[in-house]
Amino acid sequence: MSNRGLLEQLERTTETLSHSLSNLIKYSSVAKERDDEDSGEQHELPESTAKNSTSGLMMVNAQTAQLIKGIQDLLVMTRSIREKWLLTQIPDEGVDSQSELDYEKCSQLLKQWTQEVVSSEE
Amino acid sequence: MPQPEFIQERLESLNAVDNQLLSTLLHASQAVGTIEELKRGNENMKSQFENHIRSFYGSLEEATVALRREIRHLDENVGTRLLPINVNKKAVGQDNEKMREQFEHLEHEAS
Repeated sequence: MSNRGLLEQLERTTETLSHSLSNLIKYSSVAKERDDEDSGEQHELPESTAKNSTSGLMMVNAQTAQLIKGIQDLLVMTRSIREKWLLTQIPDEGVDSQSELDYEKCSQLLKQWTQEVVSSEE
Repeated sequence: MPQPEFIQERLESLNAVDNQLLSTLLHASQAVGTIEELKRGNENMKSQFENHIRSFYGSLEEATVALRREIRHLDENVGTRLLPINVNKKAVGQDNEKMREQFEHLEHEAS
């Protein structure tokens, strides 16, 4: 059933979301700390500093993107649920039977008309 | 097109979920903003940072719980209010409407 899939997706996305904010903060502090250490010890900025801060920055970017992507996924999910409600609903019985056809009157009308048409042709 | 009450209710609660998701993102951005301040040595942002993180997780939790409830509603109503998925809905009742229209026309002509 596709709703099972929706539930699983919800769980997965929520987990990623809750991890990605904590990761974001973790990586941002790693990048900063290393930055501080290195700039405190030596001022010539060795290659490793650039590497560390670059990878830290990339991780921060990736986690931010993941955060936004997760929220987007959940928004898409609410949208698809809404579409399901609107597009696959079974119409109410009451609306359909608003005015039942008066079958006797209809057959009488039809007879009358066939008589008129046939008699006019003769 | 006006919807039945139950479906209207579902749509409204889905809207509320959407708002909660957006506020989750807002809280995340606020938390990142405050941690930036914290790095600059602004110590009194600490409680604000904590608040933002707390409200991030709070709204994430609320949105998830509400969404799960919505999925359950969806599950319960397949077969009663909803067609099973992957069925293309036809415009049912259209032929009856047409017939009614034609008979009205006939009656009008006959009189």
